[in-house]
Amino acid sequence: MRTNKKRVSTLFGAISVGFASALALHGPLGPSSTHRAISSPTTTAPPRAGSPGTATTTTTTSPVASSPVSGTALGRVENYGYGQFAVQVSVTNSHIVGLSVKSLQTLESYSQQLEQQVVPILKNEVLQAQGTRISAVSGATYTSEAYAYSVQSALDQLHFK
Amino acid sequence: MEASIFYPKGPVSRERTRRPGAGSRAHRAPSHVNFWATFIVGGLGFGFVLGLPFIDGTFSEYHLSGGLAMFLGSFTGMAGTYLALIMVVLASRVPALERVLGQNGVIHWHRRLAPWPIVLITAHALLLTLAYAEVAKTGVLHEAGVIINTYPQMLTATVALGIMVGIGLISIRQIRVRIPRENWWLIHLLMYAALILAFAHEIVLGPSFVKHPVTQVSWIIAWSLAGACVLTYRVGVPIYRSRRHQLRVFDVQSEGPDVVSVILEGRQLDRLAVSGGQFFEWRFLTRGMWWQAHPFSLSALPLPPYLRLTVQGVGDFTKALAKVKKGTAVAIEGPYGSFTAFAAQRTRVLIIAGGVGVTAARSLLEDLPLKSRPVVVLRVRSEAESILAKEVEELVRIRKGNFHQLIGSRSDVALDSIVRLVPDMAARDVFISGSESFVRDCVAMAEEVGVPPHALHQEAYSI
Amino acid sequence: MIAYTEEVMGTVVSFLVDTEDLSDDQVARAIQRACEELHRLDNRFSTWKPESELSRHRAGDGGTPSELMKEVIGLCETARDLTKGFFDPWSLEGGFDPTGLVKGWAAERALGILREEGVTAALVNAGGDVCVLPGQGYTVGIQHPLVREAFCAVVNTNSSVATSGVYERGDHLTHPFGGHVAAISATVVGGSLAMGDAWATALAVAGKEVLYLLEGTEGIEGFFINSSGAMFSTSGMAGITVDLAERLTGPTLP
Repeated sequence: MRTNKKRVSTLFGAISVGFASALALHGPLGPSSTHRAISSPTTTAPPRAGSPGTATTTTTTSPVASSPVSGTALGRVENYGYGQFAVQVSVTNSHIVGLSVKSLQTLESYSQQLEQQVVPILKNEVLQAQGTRISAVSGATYTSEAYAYSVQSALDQLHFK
Repeated sequence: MEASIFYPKGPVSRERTRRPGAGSRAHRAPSHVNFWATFIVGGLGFGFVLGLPFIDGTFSEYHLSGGLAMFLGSFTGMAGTYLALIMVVLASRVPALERVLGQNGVIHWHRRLAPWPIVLITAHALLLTLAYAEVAKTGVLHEAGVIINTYPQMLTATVALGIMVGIGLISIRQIRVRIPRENWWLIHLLMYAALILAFAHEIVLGPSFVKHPVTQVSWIIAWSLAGACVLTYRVGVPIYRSRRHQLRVFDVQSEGPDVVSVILEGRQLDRLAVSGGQFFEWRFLTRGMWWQAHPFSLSALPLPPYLRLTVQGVGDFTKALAKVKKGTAVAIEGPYGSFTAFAAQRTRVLIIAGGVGVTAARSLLEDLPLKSRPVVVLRVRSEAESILAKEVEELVRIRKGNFHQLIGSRSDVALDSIVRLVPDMAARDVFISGSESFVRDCVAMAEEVGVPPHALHQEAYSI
Repeated sequence: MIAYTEEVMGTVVSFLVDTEDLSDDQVARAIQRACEELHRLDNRFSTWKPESELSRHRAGDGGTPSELMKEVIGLCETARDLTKGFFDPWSLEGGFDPTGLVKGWAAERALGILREEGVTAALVNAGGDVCVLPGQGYTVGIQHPLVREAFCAVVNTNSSVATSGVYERGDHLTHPFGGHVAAISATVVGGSLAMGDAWATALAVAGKEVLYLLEGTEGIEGFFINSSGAMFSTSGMAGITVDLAERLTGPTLP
């Protein structure tokens, strides 16, 4: 059976059109996002000095409840080996300018298992900001000694007031 | 209306005979629109399916650990499974394709396409196992065990893969020739089971399908349609036609050494839409023969209530056919074949028939218009083996054409004598029927003379 | 709202009790009773106390187990089955050690006592394992395993949140089948806290395989974070996760 040129070219044409249509539908047929990413800052106030670009580690050892949010602006945090990622939180005078949290990885697509970095949600801001009522913190078990430095203790102190 | 050549011998009343009229369904041309529509839709679907892995998220992560393997695994899975769907559609002999490509064409492409789905799907399984193992940072074998045992529907999918690979292996030529043909065919039917078993895991795990009801539903619809094609055209329609026409063996007549014509009697044969040159798959419902279906061309257009096929006794089945009892019921599948007058685009026609190939040529002739002046060349090894020659000659004469008979062995009669007999061959539609080697040689000769590919039509008999 | 903390079971248990419909005294008494129960359970199940029933059981000291011990053993068996063996308190060094599950189970018993006393909404956090009497539902932040001052997620719950991890004390989790542990932190939300403890442990140990089992379990969601900082979660997590940005753009704080 000899290959018919007309059929071959029609076939390639149809395949290309089909392929292109699939690509065009990347919106509705794209990976189903489970989280609405918030990317726009709510004000246009510039981030403070110490801004995105500087690597900052955020470990402190003092009990946190006593230190109010004081406008620590954070740029990048940690390098997890997949490249640096930005904590898209810009804080100016305790006012959250913008927050972007990456979508949680879900099991729904095994192919999506590969990469989602966890953006730390800075608890300072979260605890003190109005509108969020976090009642407790779940974490790996802390000893009685470690409790003093835990966020739970900060919360408890907040509630004691 | 010309007098029909085909008279059943024996007491038959003339009033029962009736020729199909010009407007009957028997003479409906194959729809090229249907063919192109099916063809194009198939191509669109393939392209679409190939695009899905680029947008479902797997592609964007190819640079990550395991990402490339994940993407390729996804891609090969989609491509391979879609090709499997095409294989099913081809196997169904859906008329939109079969009427233009012929059953031989459909089977040819089915065979040619066959290794691809199997290879792609095997690659898909291996690549994804590799990818998951990389992500989970475990060994490949361990991860394979995890996938098979814990992921949904993967156990059945693995069984399906095993069936597919098995069928692929026994289809390798060196192995296939060692297996009896019927056995091979029965085993390869298990592919349906494999496709059914694997279906669930596609919908439930495929990145393009999970949480995308539209693609899921479309995939289900596509496969349902393919399945429906098979059930309709391989099971439903043959049963319907066989029951409608109620064919029974009426007579068996000798046409020559080892050659018999089997005359069948049936009902509503004027409604049987068949063109000259076509064939059916015949199933003689008697002990020892009912479980095989064999293709034989009609050696004449239906002359209601009679049908005729002419068969050369070369094997067990065909030899048994010569002794089949009158009244035996016959089931049919078909008609199949694109070796018809509709395939001719030019005004002039050349028919070359070798040996048993004269049967298709004989019925094809009946469909050629009266003023068509066809040239017919019959090639036979000896005078005695010349079957139906008188009928052919008469049909050619009525159409004011030229009839030639070349008698002698292959070495005595060179094919280029045909070239000399038909000097304007390159301007004709050329129909060639006969054994595979005969057809091959004639096609080569015709191409050399300059007959363009679209004017060449062939019906090869495997003997 | 009354908050109270009690040191018991080697950790600190925090209570947060809604005082609606009850007098402060009644609430105080309820909390007191709950704490007494916690101490009783600590005495029975502590591996640090050689005279506890569990220590004697581990030492091979015969004797029929108490009803409570049987209940714990039964829960452990169920948990082992559900997690396909990835939570296996029998495979730990030193013998059968249900401590991980007991903490949550005890917290739930304490919560039950509060309910008996008429409390309608309360939260008990036993060293990081949280269970609640829903009331209006509670919001719980989950400690980020790598960044001390941060959460990795904030969820709404009306049942329980259990987290298992290696980061706090340098504890190591053991993998019952001998592989390496998959996660530095794993959290399970929903269902009973005792089971949540078991699931979280199994999830931290086995990662994806247990995540898959969780995906097929109704009413329970979970996630784990591996050592590279990537998070993998069940598909229902998004539904219970708090979308913070919507809440955080509030007025400037003083």
